[in-house]
Amino acid sequence: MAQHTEPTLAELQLRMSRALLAQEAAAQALPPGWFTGAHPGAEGMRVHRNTVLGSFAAALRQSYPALEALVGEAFFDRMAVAFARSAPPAEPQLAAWGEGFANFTGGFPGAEHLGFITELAHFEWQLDELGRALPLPIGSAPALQLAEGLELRFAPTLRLLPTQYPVAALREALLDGDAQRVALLAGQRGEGGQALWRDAAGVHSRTLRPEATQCLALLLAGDELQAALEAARGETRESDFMAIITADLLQAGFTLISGASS
Amino acid sequence: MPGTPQQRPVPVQAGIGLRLPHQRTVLESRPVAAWFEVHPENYMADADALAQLEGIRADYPLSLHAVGLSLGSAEGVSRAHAERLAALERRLAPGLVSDHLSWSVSGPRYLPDLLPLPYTDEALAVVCRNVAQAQEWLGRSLLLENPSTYLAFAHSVIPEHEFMAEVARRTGCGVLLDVNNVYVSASNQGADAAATLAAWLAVLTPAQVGEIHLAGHALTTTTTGAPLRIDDHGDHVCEEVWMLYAQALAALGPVPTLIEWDTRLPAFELLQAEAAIAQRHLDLLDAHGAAH
Repeated sequence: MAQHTEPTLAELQLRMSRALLAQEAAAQALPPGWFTGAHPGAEGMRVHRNTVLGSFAAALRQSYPALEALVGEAFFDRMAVAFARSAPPAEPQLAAWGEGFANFTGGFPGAEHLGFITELAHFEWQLDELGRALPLPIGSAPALQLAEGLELRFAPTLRLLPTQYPVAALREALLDGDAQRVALLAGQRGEGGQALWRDAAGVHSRTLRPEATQCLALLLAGDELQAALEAARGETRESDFMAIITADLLQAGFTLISGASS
Repeated sequence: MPGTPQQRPVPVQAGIGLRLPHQRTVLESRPVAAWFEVHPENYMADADALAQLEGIRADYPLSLHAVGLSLGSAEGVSRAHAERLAALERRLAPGLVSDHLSWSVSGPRYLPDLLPLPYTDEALAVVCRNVAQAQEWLGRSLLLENPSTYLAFAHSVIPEHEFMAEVARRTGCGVLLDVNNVYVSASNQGADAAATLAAWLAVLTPAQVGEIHLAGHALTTTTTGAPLRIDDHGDHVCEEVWMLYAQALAALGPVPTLIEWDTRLPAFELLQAEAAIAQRHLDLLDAHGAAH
């Protein structure tokens, strides 16, 4: 009898929102006595459930296109819906929701064999986030003292993603639909990183070798240049190390070297 | 240094719902369009898209059609979200700002849908409180849109059109009359759409209706094979809705009218063609003298 009592608005909205996100049929059901009209309430709930879950999947699809290419539309939707049920957004701006999806993918049943999936997802999220950011002029970034009279600046939007897999190449191959290349790249592991940044021309990424990755990580954490270089060198021969730093950091598109401003 | 742009009224013409995939084309080619309407939530976390929209706003009147205020939520309107909307409103100075007679937030969850309300005295008080609060935070009046409905609550005691009219009377908000939604809801409830629209038009004054929406919808079936119309904004405006639109204009006189298309988004030219049909209805009304 209690289930036919008119619900308060707050109770109706709480139970309806839970029912729309529920996976089990029993938890999806609301008291039939709540509804009237030409169709049973369950039919209307089905429409709303399809809209809600479909919108969640569509939002994640926008942020993770290579991930979808990797696992296929149906599997992607299953992962997206499972993620949305476990961590629905609290706010209406869906473009900003879904960062946690990257970690969620790694443990998803059926995706365990894809060792690089989480790293790829993190990479895509970073690209997506940068794509929604405004490009800032590199001159607005704080300067590091490179040498007497020389300053070094990194793009203000620069971020670093340490990696074990060649995620940039994997993403490109996935979006190209090149399965052979994906299989080849998926077997390549090694320490390194991806530098990602946004400028007026768009979003960029650059693969960094381990020494450059470590050096950049320290610099972005606020270390002095000299200290970062010394810590990052490790066992690498001095000349090799400087060649790597020059190519990966000093000559990279995210770096500006200029005369000291004062 | 650029200041706040001047608010430009939305003209009494047929406009187009602008979606992100068309935005760069519009920015670069400046196609013919009387005005644009956008979902502000698409710009709250996308500075790049917002910068483009500001460029478009310089040349076209703009309307903000929100989907996230959740004006029917028992727990009230999110101050944070209202402030995000207010910030966009100040930056873009739109001619119109609207949202829906629905809810989408409960506790810590946002559900991306326009969920239905029971039309009760309690819900009426909640919606009026929320609309008044949102209008105070925004510093301007809102238009409230009637949603498409797929279910009806047994404890609803107020017809939807009377509920909406009472919200408008108590809060001073305007009405965004979605003619396609009237058709979809009436069809799904087994009611006559023309009679349903007539009931709406009988309780609203022309001055209250600030905008009309037109869109396509999908015809599907329930699990028992009964027809069910889904407001997916994924097709041409159907003939029945064009007829209802003519019925609405005959009663209200000319009203700014928007073509919405969201799923299976076609080329921009097709949206222009749909808007041209709506414009012909408006022009016909002008030629024959507006009804009052």
